[in-house]
Amino acid sequence: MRNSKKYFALAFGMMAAACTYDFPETTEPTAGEADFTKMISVGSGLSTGFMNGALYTDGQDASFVRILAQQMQALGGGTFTQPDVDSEVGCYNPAAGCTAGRLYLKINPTTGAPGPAPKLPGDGGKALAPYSGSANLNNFAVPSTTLLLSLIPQTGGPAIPQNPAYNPYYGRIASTPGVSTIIGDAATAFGNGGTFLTFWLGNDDVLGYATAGASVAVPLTTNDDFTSRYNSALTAMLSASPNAKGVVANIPDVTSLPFFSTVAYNPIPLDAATAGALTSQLAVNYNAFLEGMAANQIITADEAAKRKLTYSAGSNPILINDETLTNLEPYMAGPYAGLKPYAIARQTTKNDLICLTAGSYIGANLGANGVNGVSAPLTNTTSANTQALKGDDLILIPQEITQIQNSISTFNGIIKAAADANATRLAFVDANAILASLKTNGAEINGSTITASISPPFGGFGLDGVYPNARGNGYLANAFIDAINAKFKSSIPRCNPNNFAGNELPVP
Amino acid sequence: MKRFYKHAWASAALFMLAITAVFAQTTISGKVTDGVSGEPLAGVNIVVKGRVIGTVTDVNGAYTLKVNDAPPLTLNFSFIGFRSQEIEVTNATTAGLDIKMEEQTILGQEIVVSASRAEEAIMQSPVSIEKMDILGVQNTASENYYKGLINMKGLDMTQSSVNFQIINARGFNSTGNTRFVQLTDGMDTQAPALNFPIGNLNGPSELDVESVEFIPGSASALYGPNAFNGILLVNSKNPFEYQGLSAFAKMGVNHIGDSDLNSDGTKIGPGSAKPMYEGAIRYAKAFNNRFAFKVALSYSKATDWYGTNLQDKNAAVNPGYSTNPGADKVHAFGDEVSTNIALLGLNPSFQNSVNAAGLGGYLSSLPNDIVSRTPYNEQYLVDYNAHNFKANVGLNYRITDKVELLYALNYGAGTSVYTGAQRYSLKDFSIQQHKVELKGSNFFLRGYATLENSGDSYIADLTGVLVNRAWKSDNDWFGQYSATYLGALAQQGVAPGQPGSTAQREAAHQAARNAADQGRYAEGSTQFNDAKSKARSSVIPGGSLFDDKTALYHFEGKYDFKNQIDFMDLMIGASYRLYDLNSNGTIFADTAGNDITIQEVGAYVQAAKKFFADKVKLTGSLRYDKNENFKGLVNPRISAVYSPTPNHNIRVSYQSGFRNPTTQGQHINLDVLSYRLLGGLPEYAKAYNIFENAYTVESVNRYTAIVAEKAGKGAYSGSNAGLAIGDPEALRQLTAVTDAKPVTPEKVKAIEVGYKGLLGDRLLFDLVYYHNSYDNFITQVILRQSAGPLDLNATAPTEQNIRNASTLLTPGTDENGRQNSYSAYTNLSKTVSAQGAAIGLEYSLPRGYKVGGNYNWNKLNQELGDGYLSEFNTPEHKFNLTFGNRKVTEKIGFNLAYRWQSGFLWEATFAQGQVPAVGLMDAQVSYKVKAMKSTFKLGGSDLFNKRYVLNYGGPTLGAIYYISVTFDQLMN
Repeated sequence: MRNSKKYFALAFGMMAAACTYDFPETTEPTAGEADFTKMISVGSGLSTGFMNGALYTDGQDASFVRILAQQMQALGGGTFTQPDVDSEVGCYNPAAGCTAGRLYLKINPTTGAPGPAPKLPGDGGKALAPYSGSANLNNFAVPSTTLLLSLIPQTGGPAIPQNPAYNPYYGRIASTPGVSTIIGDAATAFGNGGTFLTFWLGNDDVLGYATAGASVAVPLTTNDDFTSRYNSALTAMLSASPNAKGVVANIPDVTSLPFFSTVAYNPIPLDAATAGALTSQLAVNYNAFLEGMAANQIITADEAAKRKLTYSAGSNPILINDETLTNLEPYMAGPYAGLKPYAIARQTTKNDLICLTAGSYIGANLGANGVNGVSAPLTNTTSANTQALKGDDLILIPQEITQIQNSISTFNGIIKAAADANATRLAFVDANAILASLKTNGAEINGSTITASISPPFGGFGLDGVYPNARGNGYLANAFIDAINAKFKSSIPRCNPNNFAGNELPVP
Repeated sequence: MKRFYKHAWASAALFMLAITAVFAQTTISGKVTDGVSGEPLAGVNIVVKGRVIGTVTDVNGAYTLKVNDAPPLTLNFSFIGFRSQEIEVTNATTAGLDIKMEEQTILGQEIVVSASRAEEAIMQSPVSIEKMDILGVQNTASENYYKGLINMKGLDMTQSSVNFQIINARGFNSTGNTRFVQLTDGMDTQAPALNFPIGNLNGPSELDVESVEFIPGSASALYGPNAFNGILLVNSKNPFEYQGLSAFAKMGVNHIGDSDLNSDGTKIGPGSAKPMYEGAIRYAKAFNNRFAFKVALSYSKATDWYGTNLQDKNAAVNPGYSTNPGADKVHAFGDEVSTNIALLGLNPSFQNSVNAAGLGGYLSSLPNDIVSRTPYNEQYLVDYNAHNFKANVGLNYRITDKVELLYALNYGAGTSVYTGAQRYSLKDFSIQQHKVELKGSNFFLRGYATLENSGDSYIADLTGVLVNRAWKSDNDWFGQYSATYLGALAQQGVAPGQPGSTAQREAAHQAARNAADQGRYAEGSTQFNDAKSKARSSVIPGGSLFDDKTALYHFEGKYDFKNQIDFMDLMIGASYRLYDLNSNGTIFADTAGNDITIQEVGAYVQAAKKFFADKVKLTGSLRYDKNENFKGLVNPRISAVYSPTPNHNIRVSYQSGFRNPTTQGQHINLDVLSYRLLGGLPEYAKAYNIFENAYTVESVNRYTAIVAEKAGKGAYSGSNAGLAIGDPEALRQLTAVTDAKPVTPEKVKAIEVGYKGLLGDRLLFDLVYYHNSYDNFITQVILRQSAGPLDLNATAPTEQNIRNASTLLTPGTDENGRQNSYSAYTNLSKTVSAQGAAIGLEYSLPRGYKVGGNYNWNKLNQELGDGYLSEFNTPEHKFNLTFGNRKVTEKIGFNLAYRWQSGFLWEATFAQGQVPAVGLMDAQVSYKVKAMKSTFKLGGSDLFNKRYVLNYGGPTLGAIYYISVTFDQLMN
């Protein structure tokens, strides 16, 4: 071009050449090997726009799947219908009749410190009311959906205490409550002209267990169950529309969520006098008792050392019950009878993870029982003189963390294997790596920071510490867009996550 | 490109070898003598009217001419300083046609060609025009002819190097004058990547200059784009007409008394007088009046004038210290990098380091002060070894008596300094021009190529910044500075959180700078030189080196219908131009596979007719120009000259002119660290999406000033300091820019009235008034983008405003390497006007003495406003006085020139400030030694060594004294 242009110019200089400079062509938007005409989403709360502890309209509008669908519209993507809850604040406490709505950051009037608090009043159940447009749904994601719950009809009803599987968020959209299943409904919709699948299940097989402090209340799915259920759900979807493409994502390391990093292991400020009193009145006695137990070989010297209490001026760890410790209650008789509440007590270390929910219990005055987490082992109560639970649901101890991470690692191997087995049809998002990187390095969006925290203005997670806020959903949507574009040579435009809201600043 | 040379050389060789059948039909011979002394005159030019054929007299005054035509023929005998004579020849063989030439004593008899693109008497020119002829070139009082042009009426000159003068007319001058065109033998001498003429750095060497014509004011209607403020036409000596060997050598001295110079207590300048050298040689020879060639070489070398201005461009932000910690000195580089250290207090990692040092309580003591890095003075960064080599080669062949074919090479190379947005060292750059032209008395057809090579040219300011960074990153430096500042406050007993007294703060600044500068590379040290070489050897922006080989190809032709049409003068012309940008992606986006070109075409027609017994001449021109990126433009010129007698001429003209955005204004795509410079074509704005969440940088500066002022105080104290980023008052300062017009040509409409008269053959009188109205000035809009949308109406800080505005605080790049700041070319939709007048007088005294003078008045009627620089850059009053006699005796001549200009404001992106009034005297005396065919000249420009500047930000100039000897084989 260059030479021919010059020669042309030389030879016919006086004639205005017709060849003018053309700017390099910007790549034409293309769907590549994929077709985004009708996208169907199956997933957990992460795919619903659940945030700040509730499902509400603003959150739904900013679900990463919806953002993804909006960006796909540049490439022929169709309308994307979600089961709108038509609720401003949603329902924070379904069990308690939706008297509270989503969380916001409230400045504690006594301490001046901000903390998550539900908005009052709640929507009274609006968010759980039956949804009429199920026939045209695109987003079948339901909060708190384990693989099992996605496959069984009980998830949709009946709404009776005897049916623990019941999930009102599915109940409201189920094609036939009590009969239909989430996967069944989604597969039907997908089979009806679906061209693209966004499939992100598996999170709740770990998440519920972890956020419940690895207490037995919510069980951890076994490896075998995970394998069969995951493949069954995915196969059901893929076979519904045999030519459609899709994207799957793996399970983030839930222990990296701000749910476990917002409350430090040593959040208790003590002045010298209080620390002195706790030392002389509790620590000295308990520590001496432990030494005796070690001397009598009831416990090892290591366990004794691990359990010894220290209080000092400044930040102090939390006093907790640890069910893996030797229960010394039988020895706490006579002069030691007063130590009975500390039969399996120790203080937290940096190896423990404290649930965000613990924040509202720590430091509560429990009357005669002492101060929660300070002189009394942490329990999930704030009232004096109640028979408290043991508080296992507020802490992840190292053994539990390892167990959870091992499961995640295994599950992710299963997910990756499933994705690889359908390599021509499925793009893969390594959500685990994305959260890990966000947690250790943070990230930037157009030069503005985003962090794996709930602190405004840069935190990317809502105040429940588990689900991304709207801006975080935008960030997540871009990760899906990148994976889809790379896999299918498409050019879905990235969104600007900064167009979406983060967490509002604390208010009184 | 090589193929192009081959092509050109091949055609030249072909014509040299071509043998034309010559059968003379008319042969004329004779001798030309000086009518007074009777001595033979060598070098007298004899041409056949209406042909290109002609000859010159030899050393004995003899000539012979053979013409392939039957008589009658008209011969024109001309010699500079003598009255031209036309002689009719009727015999096929005319021998002994001896001519006595009379000296020209009547003023105003010059013939000019550029005002109407056709020969006409200067007295009857329809627009203002000035001419310097060969005698003017030889007798200039300045050390070279180009500097001597400053004495021309209506001409303004500024200077950014000892060898780089910039010419302008009628306002809006600049150190890179993109509104002015300079032609050498019809070739545009601009540097194609810069789009402005580079003065006398290319073009003919002084020995080869035949004449210079200067048109103040727009000339677009004839010369096309960029002949906006004026045009200068330099004509070299035709090898047929100026033959033989000539040479000159000059020695001079400058920098006399430099050691006195100190504008801030430090000595700047080389400290002692420095020698200057210049030498030139020219040889031309014609064979049989058919073929002629010339070679002219020149070389000059000098120690450049130093940039000595250490005034603080940031003085306005000095919070009252005796030394401004945020100073940005004009001629010191590296201090362009600055930051508000109060903003550093918002940075978490800085907070951590201060907390670790136990100074956490002092975080809010960080003052709202701009701090700049410590600079290096210009002399350590700019290459002052000014030198200039020029070669001019001409090969001319008369194919027939009516058609001449020629090839010309103009080569200019060297080292100079140019002041643009920064100071640029043009180091070992070169520009070569190759031209092939076919011409007759009524037409020409030419094509030429201008090939630029930026050589080792680099940006001096950026080099200073890069040397600083090579030693210590900005982050580290400002971090250490601020931490030390807080420590120094603590040491002085200032309570945590308190600002301290002004004296305490100033002492803390001093301590902070000393600590942060610990171990800094000393000027001239090995480390400094290594860092400097490294910066200068890698391309922008990682280094400071330009890599540009942009070329320009131009083709044009003109045809005059004088042989076909009698009742009026009619001519047409057309041109085609191709810019081939080639910066390897260092200036333009012309990376591999993206070869950017710009094409321009133009065509014009001009008609002139005399009325009322030839007392009124009306001329109308119309020119159409089209650049591929802009709409076509039509520019007319209409003029009338009323000449009640040949010695009284009243002229009126109206015309429009335009300037295309420069090649950079169209296509630049350059990361200059603080922002990305983008061409004004809409594709660039679109590719970078520059208007998304964008605010003018001026408004962002107001915003950050308020954030810095409020952070750490009141509602924003302690851990709430970061909320200041979302302060509603600060955010309200922001001016969003959602769109800017793609750049288009700027325009001028000019009206001129003038009178030129000759009173009693001895007093030449020229008076002119002009009024220019400008529209669509090309400017740049600088934007900074927030990370996302902002709610400027928020009444309290919001998380969205804080996180999205956080990127406004500093220019920077995001996680994808994308800048948040852009500077894009656009136009100002504001009309401004300027007016001016000039009067010139020249009086011819008895015995060859001449006295002359001119006064010039230029005034901008209204400022651009809106925070834009008007950049009129022209003194309101200026006058020149000259007095000389080139022949006081047969041997001695002299020339004196005095000029004065009023003080004026210089506004440019590099710096803005007052240029003081200055009056300067140039003088020379010459002594002719006929036996040696040589003239000795002793002279000086700025005779009294007054230190002065011609533009704010330019070097400080002073006296140059010189002695020279010029040898001319054909000296009469």
